[in-house]
Amino acid sequence: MQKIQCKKMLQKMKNKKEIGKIFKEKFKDLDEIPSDLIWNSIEKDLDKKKKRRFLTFCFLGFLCLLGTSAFLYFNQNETIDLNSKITTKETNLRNKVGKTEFVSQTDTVYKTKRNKTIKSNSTKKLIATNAEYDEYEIVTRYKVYKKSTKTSKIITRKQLVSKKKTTSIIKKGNSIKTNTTKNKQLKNKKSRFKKQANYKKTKPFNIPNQVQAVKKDTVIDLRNTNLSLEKNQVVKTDSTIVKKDSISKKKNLKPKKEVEKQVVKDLMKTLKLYLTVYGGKNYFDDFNRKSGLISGNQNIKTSGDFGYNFGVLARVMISKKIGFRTGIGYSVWNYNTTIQNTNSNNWILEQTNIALYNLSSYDDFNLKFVVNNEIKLSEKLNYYEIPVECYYIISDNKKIGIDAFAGISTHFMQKTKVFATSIEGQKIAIGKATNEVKIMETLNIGLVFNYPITKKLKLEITPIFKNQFQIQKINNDFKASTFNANAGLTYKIL
Amino acid sequence: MNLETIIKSCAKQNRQAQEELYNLYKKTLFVLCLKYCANQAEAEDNLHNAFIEIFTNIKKFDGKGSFEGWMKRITINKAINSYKKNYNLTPIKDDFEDEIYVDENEINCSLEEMLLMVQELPNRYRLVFSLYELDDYTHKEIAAMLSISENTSKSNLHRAKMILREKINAKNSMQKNVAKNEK
Repeated sequence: MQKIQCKKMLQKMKNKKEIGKIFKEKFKDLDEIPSDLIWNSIEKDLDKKKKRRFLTFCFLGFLCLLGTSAFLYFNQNETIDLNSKITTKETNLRNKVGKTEFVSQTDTVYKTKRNKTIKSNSTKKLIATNAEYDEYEIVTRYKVYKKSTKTSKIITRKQLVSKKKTTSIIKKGNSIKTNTTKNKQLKNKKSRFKKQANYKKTKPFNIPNQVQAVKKDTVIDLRNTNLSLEKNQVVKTDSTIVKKDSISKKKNLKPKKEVEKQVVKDLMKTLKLYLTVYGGKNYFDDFNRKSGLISGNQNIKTSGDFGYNFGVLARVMISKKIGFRTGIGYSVWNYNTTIQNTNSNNWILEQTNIALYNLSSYDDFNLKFVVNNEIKLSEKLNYYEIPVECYYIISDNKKIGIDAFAGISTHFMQKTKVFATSIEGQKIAIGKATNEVKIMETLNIGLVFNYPITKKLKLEITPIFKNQFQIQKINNDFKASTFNANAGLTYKIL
Repeated sequence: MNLETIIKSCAKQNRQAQEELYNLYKKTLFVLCLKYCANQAEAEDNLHNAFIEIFTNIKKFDGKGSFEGWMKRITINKAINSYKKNYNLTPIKDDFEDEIYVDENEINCSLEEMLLMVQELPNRYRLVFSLYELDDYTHKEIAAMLSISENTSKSNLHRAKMILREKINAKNSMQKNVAKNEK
């Protein structure tokens, strides 16, 4: 009977196979065909991607066309030869000029993924988190060098940075190995640090292989101890290594620099750099209804007008939501002033802050430009802009993101030009403004609506409000404000 | 068409070539998806996503190594990514057995039943089991793919095998009871 039982046992042992191999062999015969509808859905998704690419290119092309046409439109030549119309007269005037030709100077010109809820079938028998597991998790996440003679300590950041000779290691599992002898540590340093250097490449929470055991190490069981880390305590992962100062001195190593380098590296990882190219229209106005061209009390009407602007911005995100940006831009602003002449004997343009181009007589000028005792003057201001703004990401939605920014821009004047509208309705350059502020500061505030085209490229639409924050007293209390509507593309460099 | 020409045509977004490539490999990749996903519907979903990824990134295939292996890798990664969010660490005990043995003759399950047993495993166990046992990845490679430690990979594999053995035993005892009742 016993023999028969032994035989049966042996047979059972022979028939036993590793369960993984059984499944592998069985699955070789697995032959399943997917549904035919899958190819149809793949085709649809591929077509969608094609269309998307095509539309983005079309849109970019349209933007370029719009930009170039706007650029050309606003920089038309306004030269008009008036020789045939205005006769010359020599009179005693302030500005004596030979010919009466109003020549306007040419402007140098400005998967879809289907989200399904995944239910995990967990068997309660085998899976359970408990206090032991929680402690284990804490232990495996932190790695701290530790000094030990009698008691075990967890080192604070100050101690690590300062030149104290305290280091220790918390190993995997529930034990702490403390190095009591420095000499032995020196001996084992090479092998240990070599191994640890290799662990730099591993991801966090990976537990390296055990370091060579030192003979007189004391093992402390952590199961009953509370591992609560204080604020100053260092959190280290496998990727960071802190060396002993005593060892580093002997080998001329500088742990501080390595720590600093690591900090810089971590900082560089969090930093993100973006480049934005934008262009758009602006509406320039003064809420005080003042005019920079006219001084004193005059019967004037002022009105804002549309202009354009474009530029390049660089943005650095120092955290997920906060960043800063700066750049360079170019703005062209237009502003209208209509002067009413109540006293027909006074020449209107005498009281203006305009440096006129070649002019023979004011009477001739009045003949040409005074319509119904009014002259309409349009001022064109060209400024370079350097903005410095704080940037905040409000919503980082995959479809449309919303960001906000606020800051200051410094505007440097490039040139100004004053135009007058003739009786025929033509806009002619007559001179330039003399008292415009050459350097101006504005407060900017705006929103950014961005749409991701690719992983690195985003389309942005930006409404901005800019307000000059110092009243130009030299310019008759003129205070500029602009509303900008810009469109642009942002590219993620880092 | 030659496989090389199919690949080149797919890189140029040729729809016919893409369809041909799909028909060539749909079975292989679908079987792979069945082993990694929790059910047929998710497997089909994964297959769909994998092929989209393959067609989008086919230009990046540099010709080094097997094309089938490259596609399988993409398919597996898609499956892993879809379950990665729910991936949790599990407690590790050092006293688990590396191999679990079962009497081959006592396994009275059909292929579909065995597939269902694997699909019913918890996500983290099923991924590790399929990667290690069915596709011959090492624990080191699995740890890198799933962002876990090697020991976690080993313990998850052990748990998966324990569950499968329990299910097989339960199935066998059920069949025995049914046979007894019939008698």
